[in-house]
Amino acid sequence: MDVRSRDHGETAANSKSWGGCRIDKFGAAGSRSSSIEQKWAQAERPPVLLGKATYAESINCWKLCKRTQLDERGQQASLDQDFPWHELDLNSTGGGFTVLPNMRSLFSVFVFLFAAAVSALSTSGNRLLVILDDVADKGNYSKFLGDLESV
Amino acid sequence: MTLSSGVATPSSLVSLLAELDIQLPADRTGLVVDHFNYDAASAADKHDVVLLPPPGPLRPDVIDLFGAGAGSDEVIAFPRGVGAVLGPGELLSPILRAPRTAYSYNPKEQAEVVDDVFAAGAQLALVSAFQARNSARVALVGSAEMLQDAWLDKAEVVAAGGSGKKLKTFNREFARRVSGWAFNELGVLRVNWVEHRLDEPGAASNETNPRIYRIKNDVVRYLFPMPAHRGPFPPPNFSNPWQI
Repeated sequence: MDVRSRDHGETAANSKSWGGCRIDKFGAAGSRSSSIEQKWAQAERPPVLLGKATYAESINCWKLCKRTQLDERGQQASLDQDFPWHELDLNSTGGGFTVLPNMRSLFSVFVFLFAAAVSALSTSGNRLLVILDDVADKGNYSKFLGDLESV
Repeated sequence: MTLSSGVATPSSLVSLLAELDIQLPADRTGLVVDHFNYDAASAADKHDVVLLPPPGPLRPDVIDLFGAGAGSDEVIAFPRGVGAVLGPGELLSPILRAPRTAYSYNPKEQAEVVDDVFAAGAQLALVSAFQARNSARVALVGSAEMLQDAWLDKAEVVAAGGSGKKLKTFNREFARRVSGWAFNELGVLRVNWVEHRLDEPGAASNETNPRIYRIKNDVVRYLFPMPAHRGPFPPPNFSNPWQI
C-alpha cells in the first residue's frame, strides 16, 4: 500500500507496511530495518532524500515512522496537530538533510571526489595559486604574476 | 606570503607564522619607516618607502642568491611594509633586513608619538625565508606593494638626504628570485647517484654500495658527482671550494 493511504485513515495493522512507499528504494534499500524507522522517527523534520523521491513522499514516510513510534509508546498520535505543516513547502527541497546508512557510501563518494579535486588543483604544476583580497588588485601585479607564469 | 601595513594580518596567518617562529607586532599591523633611507619622491613626508641596498650573502661562505648582479645604482624599494622579528630557529633566514635606522610602529595608535617600538634596525626582517627539514619552503615578504608594477622594472626612486640621486629599483629581479626560491627553482641541488665502498685491500672492497659496514672498517670511499643544479635560473659558480 501507499503510505498516503495510511495518512488517509487506513487501519493500524497496515501502519508498518512499507509497500508502495518509495522510501524503500532510498532508505532501507528493501530491508525495512527498524533502525531506519527509528532514525526517521527521531528526525526533527522530514529528511530530504537524494534520489527520485519527492519531498512530499519523504514527508509521508516520515509521518508514518513518527506515528508508528508514537503508537508504540502508547501515546496519542497528535502529529497532525503538533507539527507546523503549513510551514513546509512540498515543492521545495526541504530544510533538513539526513544521511541514511545506505547513503553513506554515496556521501563518501562525494567527499572523496571533492578531496580529489582539491588535491588535483593544489598539486598540478609547480606554481601556487595566488589569492588576492580584491580582484581589481590583480592588474597592479601583472608583471610579477607574468613572471610567475613565464617560468 | 605577503603582508601589507594597510591591512591587519589575519590572526590565522599570525598563528601560522608564530609556528614558524616568526613574530609580527601584537596588534597584527605595523609600518616600517626610516627617516634616513626613504624615497624622497613618493614618501617625502611619511618616509614609509624604505630604500635598501640589495642583500648580500648571509655568510661569506655561502652563495649570494638574491642580490647578486645588482648594479651600484639599484636599490630595493620596500613601500609601506610590515617587519617581522625572527626567532633563533636554524630553519629561519632573513633574506632582507631593515637598515639600522629603520623601526616599526603602529601608525593608527601611535600617529603622534611613538612610545612603543616593536623592533628596530636589523632586528626587523623585511623578507624572510623558512625551509623545513623536508625542504618545504615558505617565503615571507613584508610588503605586498613592492611586487606591484609601479615598483618593478627599474622604477625610478630618489634617495633621501638632499643629494637627489636618482636610483633604480631592483625589485623585479629580487621578487623573481624570492618566488623562485620559494618554489624550489633556485638554491636547489640534487645528487643523482651515490657510490660508496670499502677502501681496503681484499675482495670486499670491490663491492659497490654494500648494505652494511663494520665498526672496524676504517676507511670508506664515498663518491658522488657534482650536484646538478635544477631550475630555470643560471647555475651558481661551483669553482670555489664548497661543502656539504
